Amino acid sequence: MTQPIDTRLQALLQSEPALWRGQQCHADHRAFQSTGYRALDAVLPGQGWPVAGVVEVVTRTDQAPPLRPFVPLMARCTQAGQTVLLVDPPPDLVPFAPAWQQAGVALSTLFTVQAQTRKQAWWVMETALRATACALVLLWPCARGGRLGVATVRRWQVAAAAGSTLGVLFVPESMQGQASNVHLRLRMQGQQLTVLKARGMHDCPQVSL
Amino acid sequence: MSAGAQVQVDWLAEPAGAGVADARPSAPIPSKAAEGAAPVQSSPVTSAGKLWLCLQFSDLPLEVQPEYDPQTPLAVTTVVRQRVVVMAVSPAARACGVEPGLHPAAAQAMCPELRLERRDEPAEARRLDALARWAMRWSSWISVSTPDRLLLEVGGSRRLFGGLQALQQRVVDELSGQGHAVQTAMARSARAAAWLAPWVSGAVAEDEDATRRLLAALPVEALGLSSKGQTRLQRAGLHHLGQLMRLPRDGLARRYGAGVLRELDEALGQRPEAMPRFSPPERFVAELELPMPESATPRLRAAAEHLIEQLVRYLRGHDAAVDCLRLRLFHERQPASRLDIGLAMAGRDPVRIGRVLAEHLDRLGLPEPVRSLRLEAPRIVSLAAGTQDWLDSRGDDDWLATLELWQSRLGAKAVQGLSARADYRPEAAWVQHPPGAVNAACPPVTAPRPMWLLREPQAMVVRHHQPTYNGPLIRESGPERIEQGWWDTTSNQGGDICRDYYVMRDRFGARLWVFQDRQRLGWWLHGHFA
Repeated sequence: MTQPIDTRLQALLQSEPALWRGQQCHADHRAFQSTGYRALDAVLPGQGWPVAGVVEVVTRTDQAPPLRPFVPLMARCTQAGQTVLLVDPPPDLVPFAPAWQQAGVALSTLFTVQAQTRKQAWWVMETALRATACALVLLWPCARGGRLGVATVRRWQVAAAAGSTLGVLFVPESMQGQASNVHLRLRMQGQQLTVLKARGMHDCPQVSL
Repeated sequence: MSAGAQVQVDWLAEPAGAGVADARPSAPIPSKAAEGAAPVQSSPVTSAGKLWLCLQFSDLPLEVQPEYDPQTPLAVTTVVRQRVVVMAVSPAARACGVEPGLHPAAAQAMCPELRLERRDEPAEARRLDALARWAMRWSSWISVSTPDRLLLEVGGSRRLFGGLQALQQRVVDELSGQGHAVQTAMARSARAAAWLAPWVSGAVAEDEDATRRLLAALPVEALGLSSKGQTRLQRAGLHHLGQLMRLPRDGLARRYGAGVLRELDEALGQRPEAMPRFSPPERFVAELELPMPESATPRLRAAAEHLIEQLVRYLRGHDAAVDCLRLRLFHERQPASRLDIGLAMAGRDPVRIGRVLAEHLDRLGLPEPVRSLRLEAPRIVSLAAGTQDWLDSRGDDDWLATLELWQSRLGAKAVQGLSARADYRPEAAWVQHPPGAVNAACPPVTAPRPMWLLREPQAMVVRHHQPTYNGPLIRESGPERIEQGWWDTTSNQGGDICRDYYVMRDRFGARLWVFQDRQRLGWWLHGHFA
């Protein structure tokens, strides 16, 4: 034996991109961040939000988009100088700056983007998720009607992975029955958060925030 | 006689008048730089080590003509005393015997393939202005002397550029690279340099003796007097400046005007000169004529990049940045296409500006091929400390590029930043603004505030004197009286209000921000604690 096995293995891994690497299948278990709520961390796979990925929040039509689960993360990101973006939030609602400030969000790195058409909005969402400067992007993809297809969500997941960004999709309840490939699906009812779906979980735990 | 003196035909300076320099307003071209607030400051020539470099662009009238080529016979005509005469000729035309001062018909007879063009004075002024801006890289003190001359104080830059000869060579090389023929001279005074350049190109008079010696050999035409004044000098047997210098001063002043004496003194450094200092206007305009009409986007983009390069150079020279740009694309017949471009963040990175411009160009429909482009920066902003911080803390250009991409596709107002304002009225307590605008921080309020505010308060259904929202509500906290804005009559930011705010909980457990209007008596939903 002329070379230690380590060196030969490394050389092989470098020269053969087609080689299947075992660690890849657990890729999403490696990067998680705390939600800021201990009770929520306890029930989520990976003990927190994925650093890069797409989370879906199901909302009733008469309900304002629930931000509460994400407030600690928003505060943490903006204070670290990372950008938090709201893409196409409901036009009749304004992010009320004093409250965001109270919650510890540094407003200097919080931005809203308003599109004119659904196509534009979806394009912005994808580019936002791809931007490395954005740590968290809150999206309202169904604000202008239209179905959110599996392929679209998949595109966003790829974009989110490329930019290591967490995307949060606020989708209406009517979409709930549809098949979806998101990492996590949540519902907020008052202070009660229900994890409707999570990779590798079979029950629907409830947490009070 | 060199071509340099020919363009001075129009200088009808009267030696008996207040002096050539003061009479020069009759010079035909109003210089952009000279107009307006160009302050006349006394030059630094009196202190030791100062040295002026004169750049004389004698062929400027030719060079601003479209498709100018020294190898083809071209003559530029102008009107002197209601007569059309040739004022500048290209080397090829000169070889055929065409001389300035000829009648166009005579010139045409001498050289049948001669192209005759009318003089384009505004174009010359613009070009000279652009050259002055370009010259700012060599010197901080530049004086524009219309119609075709720049004066640069280079005494301070000599060491920086490796000596006077090297400096002069580099200037000439760069100018010829831009297609400009230039005559240069260096002397201790600006006037001496200006007199020497057309006659002894490349002359360097570093000290007073050399200046005196070189000037003495100049013919009196170098003074740029009117033909009448010149004839008077020649009749008196005065052919060289050396002869003038030897004359008694009082006699010289009496016979030929105080102006001549003063100019001689200035040239010899015995009298301080007043030189208008070129201060570029606070806006940037650059034009580019395309060799042929183009409609292909890649070519237009390349042309735009050329203009951006000029812009960035200008900005670097001023330690400034731009936050918006205006691009005009001129067509043959159709009105110009306009592009108004806002940048996400003031800056001067050519790559970033180029990308935004390209994005806009790609999406522009052109009615016709483009003949020329004009890039304008209507507003020059300083790179403020706050702006810089914002850029640095981000540290990546990617994010700015993304922002600008959104702005260029969705409109300038599509991306907004958010700030809190120190006002108790909810409507006035927040403001949206372009990203990057630095807003003063205001202390956070302690009373409960909802994350979402309704843009317009929403009237609530009242049952049994209590507000409802999908059913009855449970009062959680309140009231908090907000009574403010008696001074505000516009009411677009809430106006004069008197409200009692409550936090209430609906049947799903969601918390709402509800107020009772004390003035209009009613219940309104104003926010969601989400």
